[in-house]
Amino acid sequence: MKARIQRHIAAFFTIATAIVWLTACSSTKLETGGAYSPVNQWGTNAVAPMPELFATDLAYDLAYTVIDKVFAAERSNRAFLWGLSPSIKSTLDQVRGPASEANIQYLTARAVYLNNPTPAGLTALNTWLAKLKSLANSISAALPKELQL
Amino acid sequence: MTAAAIPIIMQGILAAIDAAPGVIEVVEKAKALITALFTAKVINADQQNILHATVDNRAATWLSGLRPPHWTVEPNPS
Repeated sequence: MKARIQRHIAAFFTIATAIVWLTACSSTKLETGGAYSPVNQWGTNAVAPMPELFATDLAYDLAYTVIDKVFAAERSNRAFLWGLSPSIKSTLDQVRGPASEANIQYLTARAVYLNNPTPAGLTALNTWLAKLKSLANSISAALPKELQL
Repeated sequence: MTAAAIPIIMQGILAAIDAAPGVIEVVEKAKALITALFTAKVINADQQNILHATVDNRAATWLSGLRPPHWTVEPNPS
């Protein structure tokens, strides 16, 4: 049990670190023809490649997945965890609303950006991504410092 | 929440998460993120398309007003 918990702590440290350290990487290279570097019928870029959107979407997907899996695990094991401590559900319930709102705002900003890529649009995306990252970290980063091994 | 209760809580969460296959998905996505951003690898078209479709599908769900039930606040167990 202890070894398993330690492995999970390591996994969550990796995840939290990856989320925190992520920035839009200007050196990200995209193969032409992918969804973030689409081509026209002549095989040339239909629009300018979007490495920043790729990087942002990648970080968003990770943050969303972290949050999603924790919420799902709690719900799937609710009766058991409620018996363990009602604080588990109440703690996550405080995050559910803000996480849903931040997710909607990110997806809305993304739709706007796809329609018209602008620096301001990218800033809006990163604002909501930062919020999701913060929420994901608050769920995962809380684990290591409190566990007594 | 008392400090003494937190370790028990977290062990409970970890036990629950360990039983869920999703933890592998999270770790794999974290690895993909680090690889994409911190190596010189070219992100191929398939990788781009998978991510784009994943986020597109999620947007279609969420922006239509639907929510996964585990993202909503539900009544406490009785």
